Amino acid sequence: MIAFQGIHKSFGDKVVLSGIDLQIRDREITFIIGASGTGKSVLMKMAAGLLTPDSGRVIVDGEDVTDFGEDRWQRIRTRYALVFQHPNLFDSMTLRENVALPLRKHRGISRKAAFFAAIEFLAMVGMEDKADLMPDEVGPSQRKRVSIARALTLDPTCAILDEPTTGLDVVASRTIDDLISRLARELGKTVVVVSHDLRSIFGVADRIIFLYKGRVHLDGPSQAFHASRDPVVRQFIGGEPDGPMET
Amino acid sequence: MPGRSLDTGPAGAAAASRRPRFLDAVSAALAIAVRPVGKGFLDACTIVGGMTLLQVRIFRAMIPPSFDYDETLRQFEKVGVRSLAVVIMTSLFVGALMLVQTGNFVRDTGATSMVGWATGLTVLAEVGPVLIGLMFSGRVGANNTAELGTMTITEQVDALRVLGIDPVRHLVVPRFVAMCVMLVLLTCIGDLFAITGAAIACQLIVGIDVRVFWQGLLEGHLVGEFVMGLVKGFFFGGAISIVSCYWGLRVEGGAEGVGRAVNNSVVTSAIAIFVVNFLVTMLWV
Repeated sequence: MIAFQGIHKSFGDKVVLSGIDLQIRDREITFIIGASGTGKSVLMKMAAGLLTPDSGRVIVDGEDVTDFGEDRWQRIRTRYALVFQHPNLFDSMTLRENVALPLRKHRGISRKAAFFAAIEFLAMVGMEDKADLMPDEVGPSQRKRVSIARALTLDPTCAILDEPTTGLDVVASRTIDDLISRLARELGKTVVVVSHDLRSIFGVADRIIFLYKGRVHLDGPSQAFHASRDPVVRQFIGGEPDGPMET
Repeated sequence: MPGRSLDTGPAGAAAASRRPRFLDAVSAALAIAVRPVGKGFLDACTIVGGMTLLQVRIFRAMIPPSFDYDETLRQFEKVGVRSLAVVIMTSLFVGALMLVQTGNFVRDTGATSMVGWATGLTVLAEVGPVLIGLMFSGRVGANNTAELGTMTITEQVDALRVLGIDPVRHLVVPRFVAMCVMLVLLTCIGDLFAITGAAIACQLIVGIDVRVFWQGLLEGHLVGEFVMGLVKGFFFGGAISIVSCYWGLRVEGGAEGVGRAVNNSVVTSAIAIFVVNFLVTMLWV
């Protein structure tokens, strides 16, 4: 379980998060949504120790990790699969080498065995036939799928996916949605997704957290979000340019 | 004699009220003048402190030794093998230049037997390692900063961290090892070609018999200078790797930031080379 308690974060004069209190429950698919710049990705980076809050606490599995140093965070991070908004594959390695790297580093297996295992993970996202290409030889959506495969190699208990379907075609998006569902329903993993993709949100989310003005504006199941009469939520769902929502 | 009154009337009061304003203006002007000095000093402390911390983290990551052999071998090839051509070319001409400078002088004074020793001394102990170090920092150090800087701004370094892989262990240690080892080897090869260049110049340009050059060089007992040059190469490699990795890993602000970091890396590496050269020479002699 990941818990955020009274999180505040500013970058210069810009206040991004102003008092976030929420808990990510185990084995649920939680979607964190909101307009651009509302601090969704910032919150996820805090969960992985890449950013520290100005104030407030981050609790992971009952352990206060807010002030952890890099060494202690490394131990925590192997429990996570964090996929960034932009697919950040290592551009000096093939796709297979990218996926095999965490296996070689953490599992202590041979290069050959890691390469063999990497193919299985690439197959999960439909990229096994492109294993020996370099990242710049495939499209952005394919790179994103490979970065998801790489993140899952260490059998994490929690997957944090930052806009996994952005920029993907409809078929690839559905592949990712199926993967998200499978991770939670079949493999019992906690999945946190930052997304703007309403089809994904209403298709697979167990719970939706809507951030607005640096705070949790709405927190509930997708039905509650759908049925909400809150004008800001309605404008977000409808995608209307005019309305009460400040962007 | 009547005591002087402090109260000098309306004119004095006006002067008194002007004085604090004048002092304020002076202190404000001083602050403006001193602030950049103070900021520069703090920035320098931050940089030196950051590099020292990186050095400590490198040594911590090397105990116990657990290298990423693939990455280390890749770095050996990248920083060493690919630098060979530029080092050979530079060394040939530096050796020839050193001989032309000393050769004309010793020929005029009749001390031709000194030409081998004088050229060997300057090439092996000072000019060879320093110039090879500078070439290395321009080619390898700048490239290294640009590569790590690009990895930083494209979140590849963060990707390593979230995979539980220490970027220092995975990225910096192989570069540190490769640069230390390869700069020693390149200095060795560079010395060989510099001496060869000097011998060619001795015969063909200055007109002194090359046997006189070899005799002076061998009788000069320059083994100590040769070893000192290699020791300098080792420390230059360490300094260039730490400087270039430090600037690469703290890039901010996109492509412009990478360009700025590369510039800082080249300048800082050059300064570090001259400082290390001075320190090693002082400790050696």
